[in-house]
Amino acid sequence: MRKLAPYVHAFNVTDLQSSVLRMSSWALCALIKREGYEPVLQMTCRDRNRLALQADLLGAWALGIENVLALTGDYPTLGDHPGARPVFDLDSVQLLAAIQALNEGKDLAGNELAGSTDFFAGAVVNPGVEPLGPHILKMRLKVQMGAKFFQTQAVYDPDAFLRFVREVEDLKVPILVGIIPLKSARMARFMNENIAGIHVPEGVIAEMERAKTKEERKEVSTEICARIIRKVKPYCQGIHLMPMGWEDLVPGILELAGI
Amino acid sequence: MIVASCGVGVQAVVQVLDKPVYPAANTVTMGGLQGVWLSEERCGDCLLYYTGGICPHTACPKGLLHGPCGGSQNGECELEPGRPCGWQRIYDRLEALGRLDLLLRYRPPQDSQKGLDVPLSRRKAPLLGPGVPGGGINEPS
Repeated sequence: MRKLAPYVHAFNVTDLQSSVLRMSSWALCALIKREGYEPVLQMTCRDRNRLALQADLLGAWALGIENVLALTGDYPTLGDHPGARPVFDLDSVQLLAAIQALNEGKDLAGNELAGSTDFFAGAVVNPGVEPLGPHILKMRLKVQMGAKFFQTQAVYDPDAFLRFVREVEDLKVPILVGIIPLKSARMARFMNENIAGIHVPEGVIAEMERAKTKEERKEVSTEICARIIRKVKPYCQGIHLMPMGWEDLVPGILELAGI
Repeated sequence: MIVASCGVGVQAVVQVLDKPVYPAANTVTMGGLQGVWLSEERCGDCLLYYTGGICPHTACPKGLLHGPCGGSQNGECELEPGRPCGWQRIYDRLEALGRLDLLLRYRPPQDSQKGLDVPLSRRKAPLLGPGVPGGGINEPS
């Protein structure tokens, strides 16, 4: 983290991503804050009801956490505790409403609080899914309910992203484009087949295939990421890098992308 | 079309009719004559009004109330191959009815007390407090 800090504005902390057990995201955010860096607290609706979500939001605020990203959350069957009870008492739009209520000094039941929070709330959108219609309507509703920025699912096809941006440019809301460095051609194929909204073009997969050693793959992956960033840069307000273990690529990607 | 049955009846009528279908009843208790429907499910907060007669609780595994999650692709739910995304169905139905505007309305969290046989109207605590952003029941116009 200390090595990456000079290159980034903030660190996203996922909330049991893919329904796999991890430390609470608010706890890691607090540790990041303690080190003097800026965390983005990801919160999903999968594991906590409206009481627990609001309690954790109040606790996070007390710990100095200011940025919250509201997500639906993956279904438990995708993770390592597949029999866990899915909660989804709120959905991501209602979680944004809860954040907005706390910011106004009330809770979701309308009770007055002794003080108020001042969270900067964000939300997510998946610009690669087809058909886009329902997702764009939901994005509009999220803006209505207080989303001040959006982070996207990983983008590999800049043209598809540009088509999406044209549909939502009237919202004038900052969009941070998701970038996941490819580790191999196999990973690209797996994502194409299994992850909604991810489309790695064949040409890109072929580039990864030509790289034989790990070092070569890292080099090609860096070039691919930088190329996507250069293409989407004029149409977005930020980049959300998800290096998934290849954090050492971050400085090189950003340098090559001219950021 | 107004259907004065529980949501199951409303959804059955939706499947055979290309017109807006509205529920006239809100199933808050399974007391009284139960007929042949033995399920314990009842949400007491019927939404079929807003969702083209397709229930987001039963059609979406996550029971989302404001549109699909990011796992909806080509009209399919990511959780099971071939399973239709409930929210894509709702979207398609409302689009056909010219009522996509209903999807831009905020709906407050629902009542989850399925185990109690106390009608909502007799409960003391308000389900939705004032001051909830976009709170209150939005009647479709």
